[in-house]
Amino acid sequence: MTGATIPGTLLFAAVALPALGAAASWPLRGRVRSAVVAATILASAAAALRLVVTIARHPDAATLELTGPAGLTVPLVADGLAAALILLVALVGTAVGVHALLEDRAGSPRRHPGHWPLSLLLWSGLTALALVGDLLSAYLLLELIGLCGALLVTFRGGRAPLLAGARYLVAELVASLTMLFGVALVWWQAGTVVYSELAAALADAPLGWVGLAVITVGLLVKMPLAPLHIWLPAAHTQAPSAVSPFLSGVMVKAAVLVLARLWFLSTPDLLTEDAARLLGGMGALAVVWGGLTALRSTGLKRLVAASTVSQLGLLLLSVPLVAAGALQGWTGALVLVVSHGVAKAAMLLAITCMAESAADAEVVLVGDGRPPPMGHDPQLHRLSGSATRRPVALLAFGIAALSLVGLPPTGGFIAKWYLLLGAVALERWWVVAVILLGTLLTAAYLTRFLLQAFATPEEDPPARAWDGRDVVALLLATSTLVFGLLPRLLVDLAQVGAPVMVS
Amino acid sequence: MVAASIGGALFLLGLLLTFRTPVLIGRLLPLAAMAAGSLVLVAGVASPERAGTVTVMALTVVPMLLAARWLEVRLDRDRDAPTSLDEQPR
Repeated sequence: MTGATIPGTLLFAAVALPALGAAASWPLRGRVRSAVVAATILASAAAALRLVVTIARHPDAATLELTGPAGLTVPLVADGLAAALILLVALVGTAVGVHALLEDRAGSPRRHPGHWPLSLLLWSGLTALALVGDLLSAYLLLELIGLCGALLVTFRGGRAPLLAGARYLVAELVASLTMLFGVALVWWQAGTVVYSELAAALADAPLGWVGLAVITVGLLVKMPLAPLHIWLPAAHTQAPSAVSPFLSGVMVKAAVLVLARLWFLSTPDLLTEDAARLLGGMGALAVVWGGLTALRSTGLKRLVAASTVSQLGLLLLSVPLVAAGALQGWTGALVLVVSHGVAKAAMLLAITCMAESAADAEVVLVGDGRPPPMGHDPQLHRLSGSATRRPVALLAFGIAALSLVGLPPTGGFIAKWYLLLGAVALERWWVVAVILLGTLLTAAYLTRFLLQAFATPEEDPPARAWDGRDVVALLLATSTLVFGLLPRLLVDLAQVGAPVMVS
Repeated sequence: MVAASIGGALFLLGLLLTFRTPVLIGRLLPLAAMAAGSLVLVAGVASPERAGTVTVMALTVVPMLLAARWLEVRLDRDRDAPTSLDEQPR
């Protein structure tokens, strides 16, 4: 490691610890495996949080170079963007991991032997992706992440998860090949794939711009952005309860990170106003599409999957703001990355607990596939009385819902506030309108669920119940309150290595 | 030379898969293999100094192909089961 202003051992630990845990947990079974997984989760989270704090203390982005065997070098970037993803992975990874370990301890059906190795490998891959400073490494890590994600979806057992995983894999394959061609084109034109060298190298290379556009299309499929999201609802719905939160909260941000690094931090001059407006327009479409789909969804996991499509659109709405020089857009997007991820994961952990106490857990989670007429849901009524049955889980859901809607005092509110500040400063009133419409839609589909949870059940409500898993969901949801009450935590982090746009 | 050979092998694999995997992802897998193979072939012939890295990139498609094939075999195993994504998971 050369040129390090951040200890190399810390970077290595943040990436290597989960990977080592993945390798160690592979041959193990039973309590020994659980102990190794628990130790890995705690150690990895501690290393990740230490790294985030170290990055936050630096005024600028730190660039480093990892020298491997045979003189192979991998450039690394430790900036606010990287820190945001690493923080999100650590928070959600820890909560989901502990939730799953408690589920195993409570005697839930046997977990697939590949679950822990692939989950920990995913953690390692996402952390590495946040730090790498070249397109080639990013491509390879996105491949690893996509493969792990698609296989994890199938681990629930049964034909439907297999089909969902297969669809996911095909979408990943198409996206990867598209990106591969784009990277090859950029490399041919620029002679480099290092982010920091692309701007100068592509200045007089028209085909390089085409390469960047092709990469962008591949990344939008990987995200996925509506209407390229056809694989997402099935994959997120059919995934096991210990996988969905990671998919919906964290994995969808992987492609966003590469997109942001590519357009804002390496080739900002190449992003024309029209291109930025096009991406923002696609984001606006996703906000409305996802919101309306969520309103008509049967099953809670379907509802949450549609909500993810909508929230990803909100992230893209920041593109025209940042491209026009409004740093508030960048700050809002970064806060949204973390607060949405945490809230979405907490929500999914909470609904797993609530569905357990419902009349038919599977129907409540997955739905029956028949879209109900607007305003009437034949499945959510099964959740009546959840407020009495699982109050702690419902509280976690409620806090997460506040953040998704964007109400104070949550991280979601801070994110939307900064996005609105940027839009108003630039007088982009259509962005303001879409954010407000998205907020109304989010409030509508989440209220639909909350009303059912507080409704009185027809039969006598069973006894009040909660366990450690409900508490884990609540603790994760509470972190969105921390980001709302102490906004400088994320806002200051976003300024480390923030883009300087020429507008 | 090595890169061009790998590219050619990937291309042939894609061609072979076209006739061997008629269902589900069988339509896309061969295309993926052929596309990756073509890329390496071109890189191997036109720009030998970058061919090694392009080969590594293209070979990352192989685990995806294997995973997709594994899923396809598992799906074939219970072909009689309902095919809707909305069915109740076991």
